[in-house]
Amino acid sequence: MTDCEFMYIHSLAENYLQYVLQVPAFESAPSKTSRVLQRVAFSVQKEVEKNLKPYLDDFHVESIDTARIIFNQVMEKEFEDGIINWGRIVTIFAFGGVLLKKLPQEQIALDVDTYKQVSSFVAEFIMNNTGEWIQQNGGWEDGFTKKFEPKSGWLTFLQMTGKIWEMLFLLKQHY
Amino acid sequence: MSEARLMARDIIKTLLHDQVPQPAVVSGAPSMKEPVGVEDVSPVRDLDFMRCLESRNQVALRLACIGDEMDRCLRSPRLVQLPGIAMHRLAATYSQTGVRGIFRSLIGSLTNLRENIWSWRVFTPGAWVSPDQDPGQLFPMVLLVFLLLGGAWHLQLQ
Repeated sequence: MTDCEFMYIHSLAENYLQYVLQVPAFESAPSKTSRVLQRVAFSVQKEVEKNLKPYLDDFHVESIDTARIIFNQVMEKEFEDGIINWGRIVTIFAFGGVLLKKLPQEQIALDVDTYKQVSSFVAEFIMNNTGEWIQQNGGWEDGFTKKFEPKSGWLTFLQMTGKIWEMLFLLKQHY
Repeated sequence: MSEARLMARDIIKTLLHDQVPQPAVVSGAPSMKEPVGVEDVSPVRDLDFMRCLESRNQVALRLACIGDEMDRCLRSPRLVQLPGIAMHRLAATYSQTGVRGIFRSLIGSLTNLRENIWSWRVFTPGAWVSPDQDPGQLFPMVLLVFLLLGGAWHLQLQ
């Protein structure tokens, strides 16, 4: 069971990093969860790269080993307070993408499996530190995807209609 | 006795020799330069290490804030979850009469609410209003509806 979970998380990380590098995926189309993760994590990654550039410039990512060390240090600090939620889990993927892009371009060009190595330690951290929480909170399909998938206009309208109903109900009770 | 004197002289010479400064050692000794070099390099390395560590900590804290804020924003839609009875009414109306039924029910509720407000004001001393001001009572409600619909549109655009 644990191996299956790790493989699933690893595939999510790999698909995301392929998306970051814009590597064409010759395999099967990514799952719905993977597509949702790509959209959400990439927006976080862009925000991080833009707003935290002064700090990221101090990161000298010279090799995969250096990237692994930096990744683990930052992630351990981020989760030091013991708080786990889906938002923070998304940042794990986003930061993996940040470090991947900071690797020397020649290394990425020479080693086509660079993103796979990065996805390995990303998946390893997620599995070891948040795997149990993910299971307890619905898993990737019922937890993450349902939380982050975009809602249709119809559903939004129904929600707002429901909110109107709620306010009317409360007003009737008051009067 | 003469041997004792010779030994004493040797001891004195030795002591004097030790006390005499060694110019060659002081001026050209490599050991004097080495501490300076080490001290110069060590603080720079320590400074770089501390700066790097601080940057990583800052990135970690920012990532945590971003994640928490994202999670908090996604909790907001849950606030629109209805009370049980309201949800039941909405579901029942939709299943029986569809979207038109919901709108008809909504309009009816607004009308009843307006009548209730009017009745409440009539029986409240000092709260009498003339019939000419009646349209003003609906304006806040209409504005509220438009604001909510605008919020729905804004939420959809996000």
